[in-house]
Amino acid sequence: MSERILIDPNPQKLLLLGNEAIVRGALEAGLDFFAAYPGTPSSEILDAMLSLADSVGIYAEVSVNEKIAFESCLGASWSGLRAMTSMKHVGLNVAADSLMSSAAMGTRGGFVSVVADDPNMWSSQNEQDTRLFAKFANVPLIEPSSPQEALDLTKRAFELSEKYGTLIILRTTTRLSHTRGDVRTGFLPQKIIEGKRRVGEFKKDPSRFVSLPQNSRRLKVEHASVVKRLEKEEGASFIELEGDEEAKVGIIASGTAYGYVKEALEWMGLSKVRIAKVLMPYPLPRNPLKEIFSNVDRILIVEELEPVIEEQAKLLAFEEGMRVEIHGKDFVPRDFELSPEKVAKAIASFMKKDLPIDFEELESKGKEASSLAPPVPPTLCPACPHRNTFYAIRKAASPRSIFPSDIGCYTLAFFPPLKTVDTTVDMGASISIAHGISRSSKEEKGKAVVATIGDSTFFHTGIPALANAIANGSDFILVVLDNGTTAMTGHQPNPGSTEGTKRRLSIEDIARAMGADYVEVVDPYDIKSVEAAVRKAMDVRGVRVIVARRDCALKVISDKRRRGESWNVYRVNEDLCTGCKVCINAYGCPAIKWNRDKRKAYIDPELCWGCGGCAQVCPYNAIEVMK
Amino acid sequence: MEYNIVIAGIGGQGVLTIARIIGEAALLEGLKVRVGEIHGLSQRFGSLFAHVRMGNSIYSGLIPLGKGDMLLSLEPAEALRHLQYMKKGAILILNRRPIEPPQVSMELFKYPSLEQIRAISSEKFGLKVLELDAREIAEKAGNAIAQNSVMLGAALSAPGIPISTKSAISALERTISRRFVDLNIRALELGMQEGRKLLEKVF
Ligand code: SF4
Ligand code: SF4
Repeated sequence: MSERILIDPNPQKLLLLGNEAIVRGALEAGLDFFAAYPGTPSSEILDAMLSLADSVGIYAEVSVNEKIAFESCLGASWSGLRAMTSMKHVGLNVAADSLMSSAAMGTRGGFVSVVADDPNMWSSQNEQDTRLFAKFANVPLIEPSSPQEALDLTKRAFELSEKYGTLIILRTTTRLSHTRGDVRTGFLPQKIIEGKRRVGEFKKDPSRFVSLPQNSRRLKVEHASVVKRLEKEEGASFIELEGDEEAKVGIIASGTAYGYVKEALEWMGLSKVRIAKVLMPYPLPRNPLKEIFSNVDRILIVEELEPVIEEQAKLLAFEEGMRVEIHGKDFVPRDFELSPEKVAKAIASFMKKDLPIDFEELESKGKEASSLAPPVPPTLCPACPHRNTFYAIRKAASPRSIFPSDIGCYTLAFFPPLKTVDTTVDMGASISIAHGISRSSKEEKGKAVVATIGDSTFFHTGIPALANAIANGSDFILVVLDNGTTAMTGHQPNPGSTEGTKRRLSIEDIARAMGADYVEVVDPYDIKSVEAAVRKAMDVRGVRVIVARRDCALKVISDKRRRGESWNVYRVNEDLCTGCKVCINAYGCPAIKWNRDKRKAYIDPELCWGCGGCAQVCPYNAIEVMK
Repeated sequence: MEYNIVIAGIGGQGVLTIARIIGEAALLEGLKVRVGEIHGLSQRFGSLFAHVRMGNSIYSGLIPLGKGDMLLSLEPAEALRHLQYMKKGAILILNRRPIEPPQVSMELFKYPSLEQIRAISSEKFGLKVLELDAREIAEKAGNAIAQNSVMLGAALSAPGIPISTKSAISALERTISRRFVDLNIRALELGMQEGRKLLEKVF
């Protein structure tokens, strides 16, 4: 709904998420082609592109994974179009092969790759710093520190990419991607306003686009000089100097850390400081920094995660023979997300000043208070079809069974009461780990390996893993939790979705075509049928695939809400409820609560989405539709 | 000028919607604004919060510890996780309706009492506590789903908040789908009335 505001042709002031500002910046730059696989914190970029594509005349797709999205953009850029992809940090691992191999080949139309890091791992399996990847691939990386800069720098990234013929990485972090701020927008180009699709043309240049060693050796050296030239010519515009010119101490900061620095300094009333905001952490602009180095005695570098600027700065000082004292990770934490207080603490100890507030005391009082609040981990939604799938797997397979799982909201089945997730590594790994486990341990009765993977993850990297398992004669059960969408990141379509795809692919047909030893499709709203399918699968050997298919409840309910439709709500019949707690301790729909006084279960009608799963689970038939 | 609000609750309660409306309203007031949100996994019925910041000297989407002016808690126990962000004398607006998480239903954890929450907030952190039953008020307005607008209304009644009712209402109209606008405006107004009543007792 809100995405329409992003295509208002006239400049105005809007309250935009960092991600939305990036979308606007790309549109202002005249984007032609967009491809991405969703991943928090980058997903809103893809959402907006999908919903706006038709009206602004850009091509936009949900690719099956980041590598494919990246390579599609490469093809578009080589055809002279402006292309953009977006992904989360771990998505870049999937696209790393393409990045490393194509970095030196360069671009034709501007190509910007947005990579959103997730310090603190709010929704991720690890905490990696994309700036190291930029250095690894020797590709320029720019990093905004506010929603406004997100817009401006996205636009600038396209210009630079075209001017220098190199991919540009635009790095954000969760805190920027998901912060709203006031943003002044600029003008949209005529082509976007009119919604005219631009047509590109691929001009052959095999000496550039074929990565044979003879070409790659030449390109590597050429590209290195391009990056050097970009640093020399543009570097000055990527460092903003402010603060006291006479000061003997300096602070260098980038990204969201810059905001924390500004606040901390104001808070502590420290004004005798020279500040440098770095908008291009790699390659680090040399000249403006040399200028600071020659004027101050001591410098603190405040950056989130790895010491990427710090190491380059120290090297620069060494190479230039400058005597400035450079600090960074000896004061600023390297793990997890920075916060205003962490930065204030670092600055206070660096400058030997007192803190404005006794944080330690506040923090310890805060911890004490929070410890009284019950843990509220995220859970599978009410009516989630895959609560039923997991429940059925649990019933069919003995507790000694092993449950490799994968990346998606279903990873939440890790928590009690379902506890049906024994491993999660990265996208697609459920299948390969199940393969590894089943190939390396002896078969025992009652100890099945039952892997689970979502539909989107199946298409992302599950298919090659399944091919591998079948071809190598593996032996496990794979349950594909198919809810027809990529739910975790906000319901983007995948090749198995009925909506939003040009042609729908069938997971069961793929499994059959690959030669799976047993394939069955079940409806998880019928718990018994899933249980029966798993039991039947346990009597077969080889790779057995069960597709449990039912639309994502969250999506179904929000569609119903939008259309003003209602649904059945269930209730517990108090006369029949024995208080056995199966519905809570084994099944765990968040709508089912416990009445401590009566020692009976009850259902919160506001949360019940009417799947009827609990009614199938209750051994005493105490759950029924509310009349 | 600087005014900082933490909005706390559980995924699905409308935490992000309130944050968004206050943010848009601040923009209408001509203020510099930052709204720090959490998306993705954390929204699936887990603990959730947003930071809304307004004023000239803000540069980040996170409120520093001890600098919050208001804690708006859509769920009582959730307030306990954010008290350290508040300054002494800040306002806590507390929805009295608990949503007990599975851990409590499974009797692995005890849910704190309202008295406990109130006592810690006022005695340990020096907050002024306003307590209301947002669900009951929302039902009066027409539907329990408008609870978050009741809370928003209560927030608007607080002294010092730099948002006028007028901009809050236009922000609400811009943010939520048209079908629910009237209901939510009614809820907001009832929330404001309730807030004013409670304030008279506290100040
Ligand atoms: S499973 Fe049935 S009998 Fe047991 S507590 Fe739940 S509603 Fe009551
Ligand atoms: S019918 Fe039962 S299991 Fe399904 S959403 Fe309602 S309470 Fe939860």
